[in-house]
Amino acid sequence: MTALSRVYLVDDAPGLRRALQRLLELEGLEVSAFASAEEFLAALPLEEPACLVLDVDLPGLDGLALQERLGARPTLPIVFLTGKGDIPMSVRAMKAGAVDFLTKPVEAEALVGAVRAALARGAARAAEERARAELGARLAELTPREREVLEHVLAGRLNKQIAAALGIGEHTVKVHRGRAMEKLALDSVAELARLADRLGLEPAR
Amino acid sequence: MNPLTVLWSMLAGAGLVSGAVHALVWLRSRSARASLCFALIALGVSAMAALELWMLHSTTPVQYGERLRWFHLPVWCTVLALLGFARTYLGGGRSWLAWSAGLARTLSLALNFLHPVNTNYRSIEGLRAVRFLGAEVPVPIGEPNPAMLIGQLSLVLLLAFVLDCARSAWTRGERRRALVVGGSVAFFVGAALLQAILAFWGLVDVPITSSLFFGASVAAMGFELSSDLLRSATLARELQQRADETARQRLELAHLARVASLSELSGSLAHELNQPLAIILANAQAAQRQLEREPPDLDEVRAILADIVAEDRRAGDVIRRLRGLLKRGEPERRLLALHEVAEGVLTLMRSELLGRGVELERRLAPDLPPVLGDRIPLEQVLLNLVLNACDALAANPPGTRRLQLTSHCADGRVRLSLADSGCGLPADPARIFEPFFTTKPGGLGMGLSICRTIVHAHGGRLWAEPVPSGGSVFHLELPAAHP
Repeated sequence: MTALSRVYLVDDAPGLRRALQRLLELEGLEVSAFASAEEFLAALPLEEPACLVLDVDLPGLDGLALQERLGARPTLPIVFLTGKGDIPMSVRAMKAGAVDFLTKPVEAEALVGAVRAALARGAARAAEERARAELGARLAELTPREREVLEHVLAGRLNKQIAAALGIGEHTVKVHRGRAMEKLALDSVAELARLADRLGLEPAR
Repeated sequence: MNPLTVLWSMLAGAGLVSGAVHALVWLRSRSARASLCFALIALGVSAMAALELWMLHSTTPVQYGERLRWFHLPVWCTVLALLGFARTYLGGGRSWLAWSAGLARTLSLALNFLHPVNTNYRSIEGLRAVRFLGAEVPVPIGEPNPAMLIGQLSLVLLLAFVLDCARSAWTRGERRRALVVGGSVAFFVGAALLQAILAFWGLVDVPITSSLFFGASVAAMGFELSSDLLRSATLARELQQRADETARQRLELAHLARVASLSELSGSLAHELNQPLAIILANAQAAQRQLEREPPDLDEVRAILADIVAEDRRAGDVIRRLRGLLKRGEPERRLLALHEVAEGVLTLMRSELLGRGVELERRLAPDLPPVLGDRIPLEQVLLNLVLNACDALAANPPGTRRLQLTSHCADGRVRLSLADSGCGLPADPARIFEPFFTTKPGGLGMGLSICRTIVHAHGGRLWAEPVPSGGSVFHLELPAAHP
């Protein structure tokens, strides 16, 4: 659950910082507040996934500049707040990957909704990343021969054809195939085909 | 009592009164030299009337001769005063004419007293009674004295001088004055001259009635002088109205300049009001949610309400200051702390400074004495100075847009200085205070000019200097109030 409840709040107005922190905490979120972009940068690295609620009009480094500085961080989606946001500014922020762009005064519903959406997106991205990392690790366990066999399977060949293509016995192909499927925790060829892209496997010619 | 006695007594009395009135006018305002001259003319005419009346009551030739001799004294006085009057009231005129008229009259007066009888007669053998205005009056029989030509010449010169003055007044455009004063003086002096020539040279048997003629011109001059008084009263009233109007327009202009400055700030002012509203909304909704919990955390609700109150006051403060600057204020002097005035302006400009990336540093003197002033115009001056400084800093790269507000007090004068590291001043810094001078596209160039007027009205000074390291500094200096 903690992965879905962490919020970092950056706003220079102490009054607003306090009020927003209260609102978000009442929603059961875990809020850390910062008075400036610099203060937030100094606190890095912070735990992710989380949602960053960021005021655009900050003294010094402003919100958009901080977004740029952070670069693409799929597990730290940003919800912008602004007192005088205009369309070009919001377009720029959204293109750079912001989840939402809210103008002050902001309704509690809207803010909480945006934060929840951001958190969900962050969590999804994190889960995806985790799964991909796992798959990658599993793929690395395959021997070159096992990998070769799988590529032929992906090309839709029968064990007999694979054995002929690789110049080995049909039984050996069966053993390699079974072991590879076991290492990748796959049950069927259909599943293998679905994950092939992500695994970086290509059908053999 | 014969009608001549009545008429001449009235003439003498009228001359005395108008002479006294204008002598008083002159005493109250020494610069009114025309009034002095007029008073002398009127008093001279009054004395002439009295002496003529005396002459009319002469019974012997010796008496008549003696009284005629004294008659020349008020005539001398009147002629000289007329010269002075024409000079001061009508202006212009050839000086040599005036000088020769005066000298001739004085010479005539001297000869009058040196001669055994007087300047008009070598001898008076007897008196003859003639009828004049229904009364028997004495007319002398004697040998005319050619020396009286000098006196008569002086009257001709006086006439010429008055006409010359009237001509110059006419060409200056003062036509009414030239006509009334020049015309009447010329006509009646001419008439007196003609009568004197006819009577003294024995051509016509009439008594001398110069005072009547001079009196008539005194009446004309007096009329013109009093209408001058009326005109100057009207003029003074109009001037006062004009001054009131100017003051009103100045207030109006200052108000417009304030509104213009504030409209420049409108974006950040909206933000300045929006911020507390955002805080109040978020807090209020947090309080609602807190109250829905079981059990609600009432301490937290109390803290939230305190925050709401504080933010509401902040917004109210901004609105109050805005309203002050936006309204058409009547001037109101009171003791002010200059720091407080400055802080008020900086409150309004907080977002603007933030938005423009301007950093402000305060170096304020402790215990600055108060000044006596009108808060709103002084806020306007500071608002203008800060806005100008922000504009001057606009071209600086971010991070180098610095403002410094300092204050100090010396020799009973309080000074606020605002230094910026911006683009600096034109070659002649005094020019920026001139009306319609501007370096901003679309600027009216009235801001600093109005600021300087405001500061001057407070008995203070406003000036600018370049900063050696780049940028400019504006000083606002006001006399410290001593309560």
